Amino acid sequence: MNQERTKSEELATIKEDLSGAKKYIDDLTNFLPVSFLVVNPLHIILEANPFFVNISGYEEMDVVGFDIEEFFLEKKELKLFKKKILSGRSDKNEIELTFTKKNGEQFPAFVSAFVRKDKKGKVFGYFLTITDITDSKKFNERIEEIVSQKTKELESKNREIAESRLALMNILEETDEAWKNAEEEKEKTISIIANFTDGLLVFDKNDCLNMGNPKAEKFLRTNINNLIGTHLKDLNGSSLVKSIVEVLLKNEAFKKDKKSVAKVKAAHREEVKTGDGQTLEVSAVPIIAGKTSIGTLVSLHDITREKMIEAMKSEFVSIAAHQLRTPLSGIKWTLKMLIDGDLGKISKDQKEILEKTYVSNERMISLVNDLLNVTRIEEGRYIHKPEMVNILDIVEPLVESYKAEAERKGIKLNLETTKKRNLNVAADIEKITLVAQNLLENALKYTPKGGKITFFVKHKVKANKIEVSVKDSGVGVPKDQQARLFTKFFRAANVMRMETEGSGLGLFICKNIIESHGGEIWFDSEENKGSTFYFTLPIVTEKEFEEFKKKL
Amino acid sequence: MSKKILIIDDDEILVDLLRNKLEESGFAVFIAHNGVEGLKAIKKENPDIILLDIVMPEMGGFEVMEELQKEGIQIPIIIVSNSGQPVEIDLAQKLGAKDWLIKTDFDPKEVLEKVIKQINK
Repeated sequence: MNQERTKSEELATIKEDLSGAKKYIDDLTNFLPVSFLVVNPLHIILEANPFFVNISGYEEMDVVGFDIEEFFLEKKELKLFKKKILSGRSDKNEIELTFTKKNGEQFPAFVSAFVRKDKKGKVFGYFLTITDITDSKKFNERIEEIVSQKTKELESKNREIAESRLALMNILEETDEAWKNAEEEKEKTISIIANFTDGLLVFDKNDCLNMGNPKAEKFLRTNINNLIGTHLKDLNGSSLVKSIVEVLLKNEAFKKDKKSVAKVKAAHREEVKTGDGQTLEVSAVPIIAGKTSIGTLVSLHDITREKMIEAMKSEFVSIAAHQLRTPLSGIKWTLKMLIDGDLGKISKDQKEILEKTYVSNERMISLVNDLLNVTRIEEGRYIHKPEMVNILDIVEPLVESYKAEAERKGIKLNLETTKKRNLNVAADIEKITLVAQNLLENALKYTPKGGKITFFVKHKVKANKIEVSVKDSGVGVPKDQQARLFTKFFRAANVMRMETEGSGLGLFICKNIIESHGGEIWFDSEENKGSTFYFTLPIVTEKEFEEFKKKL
Repeated sequence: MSKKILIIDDDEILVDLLRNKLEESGFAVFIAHNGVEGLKAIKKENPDIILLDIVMPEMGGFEVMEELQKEGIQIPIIIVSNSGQPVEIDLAQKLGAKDWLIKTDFDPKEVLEKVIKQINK
């Protein structure tokens, strides 16, 4: 009896406990902010908690008795999910699906199924929790978006960096290359300057000494480094430095106006004696950048050897001239006195023979004279002694002296001149006479009997020049040989056939004489019709003449 | 009294021809074959004019002129030479020569004319 009472009491207590537990669970499920459904193995909803009602909009009675399938969009995925749940392989199954609310709105749902099994392990149902993951999904998407954008940005930045790095590398490489090249060029230039056999001095655009090479140092016997930065006119030291400075100050390249200096093309050369037997040739050329001079390069060239050779050559010429002329003058004087009857009476026949011999000897003399003149021209020492002279004073007596010879040859010789008599040229009378004589003799030589030679002296007003010309009706110069007429030892083929004498030097000498007088010489010719030889000389005033003399 | 002329030249032929021409014209002609002989003859004969060659053995024409200049002897000198480069002519002028005749360009008659012209100056 006591036992029974106890049992019923126990039962009541258990009942009480159970209902307490159920109430606890109910309270908990009602309170938890988790929506869940109780589902049977046929997937029919048995219960729905208040939070489900809250998020779905359905009342509990709206869902109980319906398949869970009704509320999800992805039917196919759900079917697989159902199978997975019923298989009981795992207690917890999860999936993301789209849930349709009562008002038709949809939301992404995180769906989790907790499988319920009996003691034998048979599935008798499951709890299904549904969580709206709209926000977290959005948040995830936004994060992903941001991450993706940031990634893109980073990638693009990376690319940019890579590109600019590459560009920078290229630039560095190019710069490096350019620098190397420049360095190489500099090395080359320095090495050329340092090892150059001429002394070199470089002045900047303000005419201050910029650099000098070892050879210049040797010539000047001065430490160049002590002079760097010094203005040309302040350079001093040895008397040699002084005389070089003196020469340079007069040089065109050191003129004040650097733009006009830039037009100076040829280097002006001047010889300077070192005082111990050496001779230096000092020349200066502007260093041109664009259109203006940025400095001056001065070179000191040792011409001691050339000077020595020149002196030896000159001595040789002098000796040769003497040796050749000695017998010729002996013959000339003897013949002349014989012909003149100074050494006794001679017959007419004897005189004729002697006269022919005399002419031959004269040719020989003139050949030797020509050779000497050519040698001097080539030495650059065919010195002229200019005087202010009226060209008519040279031409008139010359033509007069050849009248007799022309007449003897049956050639008409005339002189036609300008009326003006106040036109002076700067001329070495002897040399210009030689030119006029040479042209006249050629005309006489190559004009046949019955021909005509006219000597013209014209005033070319525009050019301010005197033009002298000799027109003949002679054999002329063959066209193919005209270009070489003024060259040394040239004799035209048609002339060689008719007369063997002549050195081929006359016109070469004429050209040199006229050109050194600042004039021009040329000719027109047609074979078998005649030739006209022209030369011009500039008309000079007293003042211009003084300038001209200085230049020689 | 006839004028005294001294020829200083080593070329026998020319000297003979010149002597012939000059004596014919009434000059008293004296001959020397080099500079050394020439200087002696100048001092001994005191000529009115000298015809002087340049290139000679023992002593040349330039040295003769230098010597005369040094001693202050002033006698008109005409150079008669086979050479005649401008530098030489300039030098002779500086040493007091009155004229320079290149032998191949003149003959005895023309030399005589130059001598007369010089003496009459």
